[in-house]
Amino acid sequence: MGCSFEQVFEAQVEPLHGYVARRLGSSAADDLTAETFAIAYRRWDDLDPSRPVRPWLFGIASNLIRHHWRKERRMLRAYARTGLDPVSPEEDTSLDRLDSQAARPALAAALAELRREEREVLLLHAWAQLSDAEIGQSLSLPVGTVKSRLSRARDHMRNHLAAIGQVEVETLNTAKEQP
Amino acid sequence: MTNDDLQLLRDLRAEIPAPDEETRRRIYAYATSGQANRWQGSSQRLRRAAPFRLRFAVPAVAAICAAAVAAVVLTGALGGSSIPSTHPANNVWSPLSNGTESVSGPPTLANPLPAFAEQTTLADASAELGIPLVLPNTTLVQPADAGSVWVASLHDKAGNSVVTTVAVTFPSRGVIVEYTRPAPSDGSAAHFQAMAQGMASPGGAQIAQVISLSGGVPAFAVQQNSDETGHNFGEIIFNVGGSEVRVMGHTDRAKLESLARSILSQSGGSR
Repeated sequence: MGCSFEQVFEAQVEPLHGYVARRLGSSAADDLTAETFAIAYRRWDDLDPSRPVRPWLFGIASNLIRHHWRKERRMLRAYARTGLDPVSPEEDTSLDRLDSQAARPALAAALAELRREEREVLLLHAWAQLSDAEIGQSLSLPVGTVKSRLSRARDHMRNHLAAIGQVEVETLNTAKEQP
Repeated sequence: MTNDDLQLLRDLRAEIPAPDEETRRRIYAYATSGQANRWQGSSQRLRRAAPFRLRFAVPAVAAICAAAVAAVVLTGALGGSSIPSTHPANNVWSPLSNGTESVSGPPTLANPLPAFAEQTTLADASAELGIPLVLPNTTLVQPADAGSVWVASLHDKAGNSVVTTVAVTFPSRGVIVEYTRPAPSDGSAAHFQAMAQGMASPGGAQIAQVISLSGGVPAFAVQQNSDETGHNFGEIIFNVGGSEVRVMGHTDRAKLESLARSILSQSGGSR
């Protein structure tokens, strides 16, 4: 680690807040990020300085997020049903991203139906950009378990998108190719 | 999921704005204010909107315990052998000096449960679990060898325990026995088989398998020092009497099995 709390805060508050916000919204992210850093501050002197702090912070945040899993699933389902994301304040409507936006409700639906532990691993991978080893450190899991959960989650997402979301994507792509 | 699909996921909600400077300042002020030590009885919660207030509406301790227990339960329920280690290199997070709390990281003899578990006594742990704690009684490990005992419970709004995990350590024997009630899975061979699939060593070898204990009770066995860290505990996981029991230690599978059989025979129950 080798950094002060202040340095770590400066480096990690934005990615950590962003990760929580993407899962639960900005307001909840304010609270949970504050709680995460409060816990980290209280335990700072007890950390092994030779170990990376980032997985530890995301592990604390993940523990706090788990308490809100019903809310998270509810919001994902609402997004899938209405196409309006309760988490995102505004949608990017640029044409070059139209195809990917069309797939977003399908993505939300697929995320909502994932098992909690699989969603957690997948989102730490995709949104927090943690490596498998770092996810293992965050969640106190062996890397093999992380890999298997990630694989299952991605299989589930792929199957769900194949059944729902990709239809829209293909339709849009076809439409864009027409003169 | 293809890489394209993964990119779609990475783009999802990527436009959410970063916290503004005022919010960052408030978060930092809260984190370093020592409020965390007093949040149990407070009703403070951070709000982005003015006026700025610190108001935690959610009973934080309940949330934390829930998260801790959820971690334990989910780990056991879904193929997540915790595979803890006492190897210093795997002590990602050092135990707290006061010895009364554990922090996030791989379970160890010093901190067998995830963060926020509490140290307790065997009697209190048994009361919390709602059943007598059956300890292994073999030539390798005896009840008198029991050391620190930890408990993490999830309570509902009425204060009733929803799920409880107890960890009994046997420091001189390098063994931990965990009990989770109610069991997070049916403990069937099919469930354990599903857990074993996909758990492979870095070389691709299977590191876990389904075995049968006394009376045909299925169990999940993880080979010690077989995961990517190279120094994970061996584990035997099984259900008995509606609880899940996990026997962990740096010892060979036959000895761990003998401990599991001892617990099972004393319990005299099925899954």
